[in-house]
Amino acid sequence: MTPVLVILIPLTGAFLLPLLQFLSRKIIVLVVCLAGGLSFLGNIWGACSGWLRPTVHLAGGWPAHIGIALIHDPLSSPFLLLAALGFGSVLICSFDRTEKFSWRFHVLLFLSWAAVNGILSTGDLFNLYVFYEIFSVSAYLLVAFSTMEWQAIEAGFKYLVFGTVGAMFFLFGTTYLFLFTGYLNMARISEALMSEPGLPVFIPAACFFIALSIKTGAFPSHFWLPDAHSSAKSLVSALLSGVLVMVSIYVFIRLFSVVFIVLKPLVFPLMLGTGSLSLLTGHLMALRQDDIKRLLAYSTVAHLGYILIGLGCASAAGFNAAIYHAFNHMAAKMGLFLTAGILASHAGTRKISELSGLGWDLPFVSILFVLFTAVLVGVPPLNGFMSKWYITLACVERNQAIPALLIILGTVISSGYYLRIIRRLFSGKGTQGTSKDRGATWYVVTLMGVLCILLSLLPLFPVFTDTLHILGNWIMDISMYKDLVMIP
Amino acid sequence: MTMSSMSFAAAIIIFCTGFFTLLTGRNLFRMVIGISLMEGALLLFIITVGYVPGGVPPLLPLKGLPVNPLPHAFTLTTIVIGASHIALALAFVVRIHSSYKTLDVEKIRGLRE
Amino acid sequence: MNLPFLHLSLNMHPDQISLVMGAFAIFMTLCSALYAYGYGALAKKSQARCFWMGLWSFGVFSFLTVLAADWFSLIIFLELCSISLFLMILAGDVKTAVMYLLTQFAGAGSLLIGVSILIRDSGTIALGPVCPSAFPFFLVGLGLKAALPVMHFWLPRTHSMAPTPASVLLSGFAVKMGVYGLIRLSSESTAPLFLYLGLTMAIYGVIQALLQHDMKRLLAFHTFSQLGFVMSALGSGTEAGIMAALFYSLAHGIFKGLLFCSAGVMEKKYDTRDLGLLGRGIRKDPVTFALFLVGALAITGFPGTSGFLAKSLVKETLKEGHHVLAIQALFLAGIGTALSFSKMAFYGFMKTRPFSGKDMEKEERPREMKYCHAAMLILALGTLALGILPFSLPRSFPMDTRIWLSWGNLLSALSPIAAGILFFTFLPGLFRPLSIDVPDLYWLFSQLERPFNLLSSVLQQYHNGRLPRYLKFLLAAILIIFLLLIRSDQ
Repeated sequence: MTPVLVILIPLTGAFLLPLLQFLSRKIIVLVVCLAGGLSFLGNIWGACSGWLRPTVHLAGGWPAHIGIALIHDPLSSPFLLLAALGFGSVLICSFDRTEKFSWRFHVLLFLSWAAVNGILSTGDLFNLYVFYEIFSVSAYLLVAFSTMEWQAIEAGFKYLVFGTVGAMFFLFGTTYLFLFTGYLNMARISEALMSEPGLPVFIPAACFFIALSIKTGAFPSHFWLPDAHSSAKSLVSALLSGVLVMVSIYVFIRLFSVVFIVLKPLVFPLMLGTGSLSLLTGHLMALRQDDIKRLLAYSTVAHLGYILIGLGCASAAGFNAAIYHAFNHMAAKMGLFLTAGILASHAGTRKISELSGLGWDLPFVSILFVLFTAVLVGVPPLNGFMSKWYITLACVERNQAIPALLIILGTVISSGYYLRIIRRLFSGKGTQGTSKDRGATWYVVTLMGVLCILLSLLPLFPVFTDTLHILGNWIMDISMYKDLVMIP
Repeated sequence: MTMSSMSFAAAIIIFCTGFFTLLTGRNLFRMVIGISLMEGALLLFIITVGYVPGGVPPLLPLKGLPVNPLPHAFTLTTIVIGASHIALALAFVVRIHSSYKTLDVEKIRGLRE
Repeated sequence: MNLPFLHLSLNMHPDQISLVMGAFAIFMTLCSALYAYGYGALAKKSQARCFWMGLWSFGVFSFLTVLAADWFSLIIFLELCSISLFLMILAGDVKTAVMYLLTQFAGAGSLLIGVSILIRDSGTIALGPVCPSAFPFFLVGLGLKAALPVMHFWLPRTHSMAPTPASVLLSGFAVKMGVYGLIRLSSESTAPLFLYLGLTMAIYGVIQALLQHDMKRLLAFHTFSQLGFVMSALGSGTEAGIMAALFYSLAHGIFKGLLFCSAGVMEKKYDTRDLGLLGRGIRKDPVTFALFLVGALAITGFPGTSGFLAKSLVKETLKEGHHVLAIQALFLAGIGTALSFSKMAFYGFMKTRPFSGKDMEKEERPREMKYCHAAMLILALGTLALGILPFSLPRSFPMDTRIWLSWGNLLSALSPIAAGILFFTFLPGLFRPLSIDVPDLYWLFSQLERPFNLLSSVLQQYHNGRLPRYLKFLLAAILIIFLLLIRSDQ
């Protein structure tokens, strides 16, 4: 029942809200809080149950090869946790006094939450496509839902065009696989592909690779990402950069480790290449940015590069490193976007050159900004350093020299542009005067800071490395996944 | 060339036409039409996947070998998703026009670098 | 697949070398703190806060670095030390500080790759000699920290632009951490490489130092040269060589700190670092000159100072290894050192050339100078103490100290000094401070920034907001991905 509940609760929230819009604001807030709290708990419950006892729920009672199987397994549980933390924090932030409360925003939020949970819980390709599209459409709308009219609409449209092309390739891939094997269940397809060696599997693999790289914003298809992530409200940018990008990474892992296992030698080096190019592009473009949110968006592209490099190593160590980096990136990037939002709204502008002296006006926020920056640059012993170290270990283990060197180069370049912002923040005297109003965003930002510190302390405990081992083994050994799905 | 192959080929050709329209359309509406064409091609592709030569519609009581009904379900869902994409795209086009006063995609470059 | 090094355990397993270096770290930090308290020329409160935070954290982290028992912990603390130094240099010049931080990050990154190769090939990261496949990365990483040839490009500029207490710590201890790493790295096989590197450094450093007119740049090149002496000691490959290198590092840290302090006092007083504009120091600043003299004598190896003992130790180890050419080269470097310091003493303190209208003598606040001089006095006493009573080393040298006082040894120590001073006295014109800047490798490395800027501006032109162009890129990507994956169709 858990996988169904995990999808159903936010979906109910999303559908209830438009019905209740005529009632008083207090009731709407109550419903939002209730739905949000229950969804958060549901995600955590799903994550725990997926880790401790992987569960399968067959929708409608139809067996796996005909019907839709909803699965919580050790791969989806870290991502469920990530989604819970990300969406939960954004929900808290949305009650900030500076934001105009709008039920439409919460409808979109819950829709995307339900869709993300759906993607993370499903074991069926077409179901994945449907939830992916719900997620994408709500993301397009979230991007466009902003106070900066023309920028947000333009960004939303470009995101839509790119995302729709991606969706079509995704569906192409699904249909090809259905054509070849007659199944839509991922475990069944995997088995069918392994037992019939003569099929041109590269066609659906290429379709899926293209679709996912468009959706996630990897190198040649990353053009929508800076526009979308910079024009959205800080809240939405935080959500997009932190959580929604990682969903595509989950789909990458799931598809290419389970379904296309026959193509391992070819697809994963391609992932490495894409990751390396994304890294370079993200860091190099960020060097020249004057708009703080656009800089952070390019930094997201670069960190996607790191994660793809980790995935491309195709070893348990690589997958672990990538997932750990996904967590660290979420905590730090959400913190960065939210603090950048606070700083930008205090100064009235997003240009870095006009942010002088804000560090003295808002010292707490600026110190947290420096902390998050240090996490992303990779200053030891913070969590960003540890995850980059793991990715480097995984790369060197696979004798991939260039990605390892690029990771180091990335550290140097990113410290260059982040130091520029920090210098600007702490230069000159504070001019704007301190602001005393602490909205909900401040709490969330502090929360993110605490989360970063906690994540930094994790590698000190052997429990953490055991967890990573279990995760890595589960991903590499798909027979466990297949047994889980196909027995009932 | 069997019926299936021709159908697949037609789907691919329409998809490429749609993509070409998307790439070269100067007007935003052309881009939306391109998207619509691509989705239509995909629908044709899906239906053709389920084709069984000499098949009959999958309606009970069966009068022979039925074509695969599963792609029909996919097609319905995909039509809905496609409709939502197009609707959203058109809404965006209307809003873009109201702020940029033009539909020329080359001129809609507010976000650059 | 098991990766046993995933969990972060900061191994501390101090042995004798670590403890000595640790005590030295604390000593240098305290002296520098005392000096900085008197130096106090940090204008803004924010800069001062930054500086002091950097200083104390440097003390803590450098102490922890030399106590680390495996390479990974070493790297972590090395990076933290770099950040502390960055905070200190920030009070002087921002661009230099950023350059320093970026170079140190690159070095630490190289070390990280080295450690991962080490894990892959040999399975252990304990502190010690590494396998050959990882060695180049370790060399580059530690070289960027210890200013080995080619990787020393950041040293002169950083020293001249940083505030003096930061320079004291930088030359005094920070590069010694790199040397400490190299000491741990050294083994029989690395000895020849270290020897050649050391000799190159010794000679090149002295030649460049003779051409400098900026006091702190001159001292920076002397650091480079003296590190050459240390590396030659390591280059003998013996246990005694390691001890000699360690002792030389300690001695050098103390007397170089002293020299930087005196240069800083002069800079602060006369507001210039240029040797061509200074002078009349003896009459106005006798204390500073006296303490400077102690440092200068130490660095040239005058008997009675720690420099003499250090140089003798190095010569002994090289003699045992029969590296005659090395001893000759170090002799030449010794002459050059004496020459250079006579030049610095003369033009910096003794020459009574009037300033060209820049008679700026800041009003000497007694409180400030008192602290600076106190710090310098401590360092001078340290130098002399090490020179006369070298009992602080854990492993006592089997040789009796009196052997060093043999006439042969004294002569070989005094002759470069005498030669240098004579050279200078008879050819003073040759060593007048130049007014131009002699280029070093820094220019080359600063050009490294250009390709990145070029690349990013090229990229920027493609992100011009035109949706059709973006889509054409997408089409290209689609075709490329299809073509790349088509190879599986066998």
